[in-house]
Amino acid sequence: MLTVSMKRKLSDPALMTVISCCLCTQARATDLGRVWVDKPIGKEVRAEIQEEGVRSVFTSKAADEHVFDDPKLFPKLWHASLCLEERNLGNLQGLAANYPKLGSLTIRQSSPLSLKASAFLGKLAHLRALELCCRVENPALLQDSLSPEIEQLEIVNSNLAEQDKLTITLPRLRELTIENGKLSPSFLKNLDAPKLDRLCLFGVNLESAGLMELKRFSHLRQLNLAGSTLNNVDYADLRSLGRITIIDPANRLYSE
Amino acid sequence: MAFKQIVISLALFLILTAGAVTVTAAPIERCHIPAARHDPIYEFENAVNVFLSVLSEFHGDRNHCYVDKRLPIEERNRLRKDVTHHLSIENGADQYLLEDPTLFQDVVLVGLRSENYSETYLRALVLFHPKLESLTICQTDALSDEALRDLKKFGKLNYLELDCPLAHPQLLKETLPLSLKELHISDSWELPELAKLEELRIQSCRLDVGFFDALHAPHLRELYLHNMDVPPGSLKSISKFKLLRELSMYLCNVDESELHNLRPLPYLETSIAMDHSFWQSFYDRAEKSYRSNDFRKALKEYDSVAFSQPSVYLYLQRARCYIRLGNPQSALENCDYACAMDPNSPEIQIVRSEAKRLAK
Repeated sequence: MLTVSMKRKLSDPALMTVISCCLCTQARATDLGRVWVDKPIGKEVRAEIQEEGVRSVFTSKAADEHVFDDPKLFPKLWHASLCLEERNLGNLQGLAANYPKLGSLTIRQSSPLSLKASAFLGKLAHLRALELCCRVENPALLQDSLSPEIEQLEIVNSNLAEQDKLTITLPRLRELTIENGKLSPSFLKNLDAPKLDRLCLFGVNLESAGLMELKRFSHLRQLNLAGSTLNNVDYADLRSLGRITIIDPANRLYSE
Repeated sequence: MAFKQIVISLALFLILTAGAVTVTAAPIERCHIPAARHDPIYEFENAVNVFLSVLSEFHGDRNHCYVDKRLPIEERNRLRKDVTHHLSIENGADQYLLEDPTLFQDVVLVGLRSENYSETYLRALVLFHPKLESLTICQTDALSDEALRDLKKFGKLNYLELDCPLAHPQLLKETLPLSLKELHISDSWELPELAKLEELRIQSCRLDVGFFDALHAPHLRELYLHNMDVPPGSLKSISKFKLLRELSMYLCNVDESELHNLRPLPYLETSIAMDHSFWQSFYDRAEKSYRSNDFRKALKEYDSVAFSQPSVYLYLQRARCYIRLGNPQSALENCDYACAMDPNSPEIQIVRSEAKRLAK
């Protein structure tokens, strides 16, 4: 079930009962089981969750930091979304210890990701998709914590792409999204992602030097510049990237 | 345990869908009083729809999607594989949600109810979903000129709801798509000629006196005025809409004399719905006058009610007034109207025979 719509419906306890029933029965049938955890998980619910094989867990404000302490609770867990601020660390620790085969992770918090959290992230060696919506305390440490299996990486409101000396090697990376913030020209230069196919730069400050690094990515087919600011960018250079489809809603490339 | 849950779910589903059918299949009376937003039936129906949309999501037909926060990466990956026809963007959704052309590829109905980024969303919709059929924009800030100009680019748009102020309303004349069949607006802005327009809703504003005079919508069938100030003279031109079949005014501040501008009824089937309390005041006054034997005044008040909310009782009361005023022909005429509504009513025959006696 769609997370957002489920959140809307939680306000009605009667309806929630109905939805819970649906969730349990349908999750079994479609294997799309998703759970929004917004309070400590009780015993009864625990048994139901275990039985139904939940694949995605979304944690919300009132959940505790022990959601992932039991390695048997989510035997089919694929995706975890942590939006708990100060409780993320405990849950990240739980994920690293008990669900090392996690495939997809979203971390959203306003405080920077701590060194400890980066270390826990490093233990999730099978991550295929990572969405990091926070600043990072020590970006240099994080570069070693990223799983080489990552195929989709989203960096939102983060300082990661600002770093000049960061060398990230992601041999399987296909999609990279950088949203809001600065993009250091060296970031793309030092990015080792031979399979990069799609690059989204949403609301990013860009410079020509950084964009020219795109020539290195031989598999790159799509560049999305929606909401980005182009500083000192030679549009002719951009147009010369002929094999790449450039999405530019502001239509700056061809309006000169 | 799972079997029990399936049985419970199925039972609830059947109960709720049965309820939904009952609600939607209820006969619509000729002169209805529109349900208020807090109407329990409306809320129940809404709850059922929400429930059904949840079910449809589970059945793999996830055709309606609400977004009120940034979608986690896994949700976006899932949505890429799904078919989403109806998208509602609420407060909290991220700015670049629609900039990803791989998301919501099948969307045809979009509701923008976010206080932020409507310009960004619209621009992305124009770029990636130019064949949009339905669009709702609901916000408190004024919609920019750029956003208004983007509207023109939706060549297949047939439903548009603008529940927001406009930075420059005069631009609407150039930017409204001419394909519109249904339009909801929140001010009596000047509109271009809308040859296909069939339904117009105006709400929460003061109606401009010359609005209907300037409006060119030859196919207009339904007109709704909600929560409006209706100044004298502003309804005069309504009679030019020859295909109009329903005129609903509710929670409107309208002078009684203004309603007379609508007469004579230019179209036989046009119904006029008003607040119950509004009509009740006419009805109460009519009954009071009738009891005090002021039949002329009672007739006038009954006229006002019968004009919009005709019933057997009202036509019979009018007939009785005409009998008391010595006008048996008009009384018989009203008996005929009442008889057309309920041919089996014995009361009509009593009044009719009384009128016939007087006619002799």
